[in-house]
Amino acid sequence: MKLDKKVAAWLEAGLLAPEQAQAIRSFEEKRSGNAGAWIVAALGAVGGLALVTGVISLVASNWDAIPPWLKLAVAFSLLAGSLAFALAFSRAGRTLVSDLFLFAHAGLVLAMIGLVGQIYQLSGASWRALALATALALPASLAGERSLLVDVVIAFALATLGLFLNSRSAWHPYFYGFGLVLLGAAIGGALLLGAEWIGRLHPPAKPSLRRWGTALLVAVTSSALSGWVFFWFGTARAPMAWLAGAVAAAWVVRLALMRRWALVVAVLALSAFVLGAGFLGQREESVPMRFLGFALFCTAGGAFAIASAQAGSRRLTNIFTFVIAARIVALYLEMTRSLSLTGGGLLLTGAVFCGVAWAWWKLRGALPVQPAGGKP
Amino acid sequence: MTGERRRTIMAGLLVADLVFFGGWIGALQLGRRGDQQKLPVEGYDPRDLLSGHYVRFRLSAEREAAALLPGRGSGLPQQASWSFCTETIAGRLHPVRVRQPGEQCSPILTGALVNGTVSFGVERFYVDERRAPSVASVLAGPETYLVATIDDEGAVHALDLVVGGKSVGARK
Repeated sequence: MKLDKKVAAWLEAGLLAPEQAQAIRSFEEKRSGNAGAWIVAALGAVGGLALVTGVISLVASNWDAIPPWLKLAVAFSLLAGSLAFALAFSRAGRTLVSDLFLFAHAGLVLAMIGLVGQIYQLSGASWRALALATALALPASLAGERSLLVDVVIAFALATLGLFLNSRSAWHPYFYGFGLVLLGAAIGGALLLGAEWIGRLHPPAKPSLRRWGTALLVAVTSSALSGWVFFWFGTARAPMAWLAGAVAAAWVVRLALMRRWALVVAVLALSAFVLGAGFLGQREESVPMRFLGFALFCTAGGAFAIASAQAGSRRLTNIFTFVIAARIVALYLEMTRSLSLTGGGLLLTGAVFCGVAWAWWKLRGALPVQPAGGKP
Repeated sequence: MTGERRRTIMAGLLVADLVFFGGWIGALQLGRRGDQQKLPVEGYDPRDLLSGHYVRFRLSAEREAAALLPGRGSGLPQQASWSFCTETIAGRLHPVRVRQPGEQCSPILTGALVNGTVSFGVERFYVDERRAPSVASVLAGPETYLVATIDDEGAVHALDLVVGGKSVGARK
C-alpha cells in the first residue's frame, strides 16, 4: 500500500512512465512472494520449534539417567558436527548457514565446558571457562563473514573480564564509586578506536566493534548523567581516571589529525563530563555544579549534532538534537520543580533557539547540513 | 580473507576442539585412577541453579592446611601454590605438614592460598536431581565426606559425596 502510494505519486510527478510503474509493482509483488508460502513457512517454523523444545525437555527430564559417556559423546558430536557443517556449507558458498553453524559452535563450546565440569565435578572460576570460550570463538569469528560472530567474541571477552575482576578482591578499590564506569568508558572508547584499524584487517569486525563501543559509551554517559544530577557516586580512584583519560586523549589526537574539529570538541566535552562525574563524589546539591554538568552535556551533544550534520547524517543529527532538548526539559524540571515555571522557561528557551535558527538562516542561507555521504 | 583461508581456519578449529577437549577429558579420566581417599567436608549449601543441582561444601583439609602454613598464611603471597603431606587418621585423609622441597610423601595435597585459606579446587558436587531434596535435610557430620582420587601432582578428583553415610553421587 505504501509502495502503491509512492509509485502513484512518482507517476503523477512525471518521474516514472506507466510501464515503469507497472514493472516496479510486478517486481515487488514477485519479491515479497505469495501469502500462502509465508503461512506454510510460519507453520513449519512453529512445528520445528515445538519439536526441538520437546526433545530438549525430554532430555532434561531424564538428564540424570543418561550415562556420562553418552552425554559427552553427544556433546562432542554436536561440537565437531557444527564445525563440519560450517565447513561444508562454506564450501558450497552458503556463507549465511555456515556462519550460523559457527555461531552455534560458540554456544556449544560453553555447553561442553559446563558438561565436563559437571561430570568431573570441577569447581574452577567461571572466568576461566569464559576465557576458553573466547579463545575458541576468536578463530571462528575470523572464519565467518558476519559481524554476529565478532559480537560473540566481544560479549564473551567482556563477560570474562567482568568475572575476572570480580574474582580479584584486591582490585575492587579501583572500581569504587565511578571506577567501573570509567573502565567501561575506556573499553568503549578503545573498541571504537580499534574499529577502523581492525575493520581493515577483518571487515565484519568493524560494525560489531562500533555497536559495542557505542553501547558502552551510551551506558557510561547515562551513568555520568546520574552522577551529575544525583551526586551519589563516590570519588573515583586516579588509575581508572588516567586510563579513561588516555583513551580520550588518543581519540582527540586522532580526530585532530583528521581535522574533524567538531568531534574534537565533542570528545573533549564528553570526557570532561564523564571524568567530572567520577570526581564529584557524594556531596550536597550544588547549582553551579549542576549547570556545569548541563553545559558539558549540551556542548558534547551539540558538537556531536554538528559533526553528524557535517557528515550528512540527518538521523544522528536529529537524535543528538532530541537528546539536548530532552536534557533542557529535564533541567527545568530539576531546577524549578514546578510545571508552570518549567513551561515559562521552555517558552523562553524555545524563543531563543528559534531566534538563533532564524539568524543562522538569514546569515548563511542554509542549515549546516550537507547531502548524505558528504564529507566535512 | 579468501574463502579457502576461512575454511582452513574452520578445519584448524575442528582439530583444536578435538585435541583440546579430547585431551582434557582424557587427562581427567586418568586423574580418576588410583586409590580412593575419603576427605572430610564441612558446611555445605544445597542450591538449585540452572546448571543443575549441586552442593557447595568446604573440605576440612582446606582449614587444616591453612593452619599449617608459616604464620598461618598471613602475609604470604596470594595464589601461591603449596603442597602438603597427608596421613589417614580414622579413615579420613588430613594434611599434616607442609611438604618440604624434595621431600617424599604420598599422597600429597596441592592447593593455592586464597584469602587466608588454602583452596584445593574442589568446592561443589553435582547431585542427582531426584536426590537433591534428601541432601538438603541432612547435616554435615563424621559420616559426611568426599570420595576422591589424588593424582601425583596433588590435585583432587572428586568421585562421590557421602552425606550422613549416604552417597549422593550420580548413578554409575
